[in-house]
Amino acid sequence: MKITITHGSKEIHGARVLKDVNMTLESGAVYGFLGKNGSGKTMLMRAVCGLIGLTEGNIDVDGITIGKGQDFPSKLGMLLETPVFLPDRTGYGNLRLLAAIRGETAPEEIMAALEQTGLDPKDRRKVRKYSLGMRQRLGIACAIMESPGLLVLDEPFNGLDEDGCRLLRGIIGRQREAGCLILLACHDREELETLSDWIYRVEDGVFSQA
Amino acid sequence: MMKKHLSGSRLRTLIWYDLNYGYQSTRLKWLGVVLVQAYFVILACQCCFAPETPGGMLGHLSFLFRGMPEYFVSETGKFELPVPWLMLNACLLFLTASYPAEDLTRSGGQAIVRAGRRRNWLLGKAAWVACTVAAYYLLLAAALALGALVTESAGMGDLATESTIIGSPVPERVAAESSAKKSAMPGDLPAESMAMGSPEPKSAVPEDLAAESAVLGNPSPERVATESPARKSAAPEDLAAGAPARGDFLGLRDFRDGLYGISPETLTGWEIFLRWWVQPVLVSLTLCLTEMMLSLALEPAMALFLTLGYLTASVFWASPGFLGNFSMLLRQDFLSGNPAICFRNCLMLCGLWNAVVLLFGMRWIRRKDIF
Repeated sequence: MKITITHGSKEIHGARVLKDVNMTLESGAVYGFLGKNGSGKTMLMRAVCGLIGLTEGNIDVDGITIGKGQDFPSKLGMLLETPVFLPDRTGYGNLRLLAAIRGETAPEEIMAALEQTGLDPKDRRKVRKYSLGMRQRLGIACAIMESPGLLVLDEPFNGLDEDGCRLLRGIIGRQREAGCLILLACHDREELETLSDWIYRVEDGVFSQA
Repeated sequence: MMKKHLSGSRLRTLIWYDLNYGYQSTRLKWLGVVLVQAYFVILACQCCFAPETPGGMLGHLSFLFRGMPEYFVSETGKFELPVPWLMLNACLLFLTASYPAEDLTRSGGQAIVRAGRRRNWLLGKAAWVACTVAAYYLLLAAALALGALVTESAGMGDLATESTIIGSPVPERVAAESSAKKSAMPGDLPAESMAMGSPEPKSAVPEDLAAESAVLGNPSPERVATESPARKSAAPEDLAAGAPARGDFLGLRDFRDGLYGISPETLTGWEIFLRWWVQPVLVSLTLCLTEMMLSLALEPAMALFLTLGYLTASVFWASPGFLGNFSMLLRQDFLSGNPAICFRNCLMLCGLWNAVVLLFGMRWIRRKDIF
């Protein structure tokens, strides 16, 4: 997979939140984004996922423009904010419901994704009884369960304990080795430097390679 | 790694997802719906047990969806909001108000990115709305059937002398409405046709209705003429003794003899089905789809408010531009004399409206920023 962002800009209510972003991203690498709250990291991630449209410029995924040739990148897995699931279903039940939309994921793969994040696939507790960290793990499992080609993780370490962080580092490493293109936003500079192949510094919508 | 297809096409799986997720999200609302429907069906059963008022499923359904005649402001005229009609429609709008918008924002876009295309996601939501409307009316039909079964077999005699509908016996109230209308609009139809409290069959047949009858099948005049007018078979003393209630289960016999002043003896069974069931469902579907689009563009509470406001406006204006008129029995052309409120217009307007809403919606959702 190859993502090319050409002169990407986004304006919301008169404010420019992305300013002339140019970058090329390729499979098998982790791209880290470092910046303050509101700097534009999440906005770019949303644009790459196809959730928002650019005011100017294009985002091409394997040569097809998002918003024109396709609405969303295929094989996308994302964790963009604190995930919200059906409170009256189990974690596995929630993931199974979402996986059924694409219809490409076997139950065994869903269970494997849950185990990778440290959750028990056979846990009969409803999601309403999950802690914040457990919901975050469930969100990560949701992002990886369909063997994505593009993995977008916005602040994935939020709410995770030490064990959860360790598991997540392992997941990111394995996904990169499997050829996945990973976008990672994180406040922790050290964590980013450990995990990322490339780091972009983000300030007021401007992306520059660190 | 072996991939297993859990289901068929993307749209079909999306609809299945919406039915599951949507039901889970609206479970408590469905409980409210059941209670509201039960209340109004019980009210209909009680009010339909007076000897002068017809029972059976059609009788109860007519009570719920009769609405009110066209309202004319006058010093002596009385305005009564058709509460059952309004509440049942409002309940359905409340049921469908929030899920589409919630799915878009609450789950952070997990469902829409898996849908592949934004319009697929929207069509899935539209299908969910249609299924919810269908389920709502099926539930209502079941409640009406149960009510008809209970009242037809229970013989609730004492209630016959106490049944009132919102404060006054129906025939008197309908007769008062009729005289108010007659004084406001002289000469539109023969006086006999305006006798809304009278069991006598209507003599005037609006031209459109005659044409519709020709298309849909003429009722048999001989069948109508020879039907017994003794629709209320149980005398008050019989009812007091707990005798089986008068009327048949569907209420067709009562119906033919007049129903809250509705004298539909010129309608065929097919027309009765279209007017009494299909029209309200079409109107509800159209309003709910519109509300869905508004909830995505604005927010669910505002969408509900606007749609309810539009529905309520139908009470005040007997115009085909206000779709609520098509689901009010007393506004129909065969009773009110307004040829514009007919099934053909309902089908056309609802079809056109839904097509515009969906086409506009598919274009709009392509450009919407999802946060």
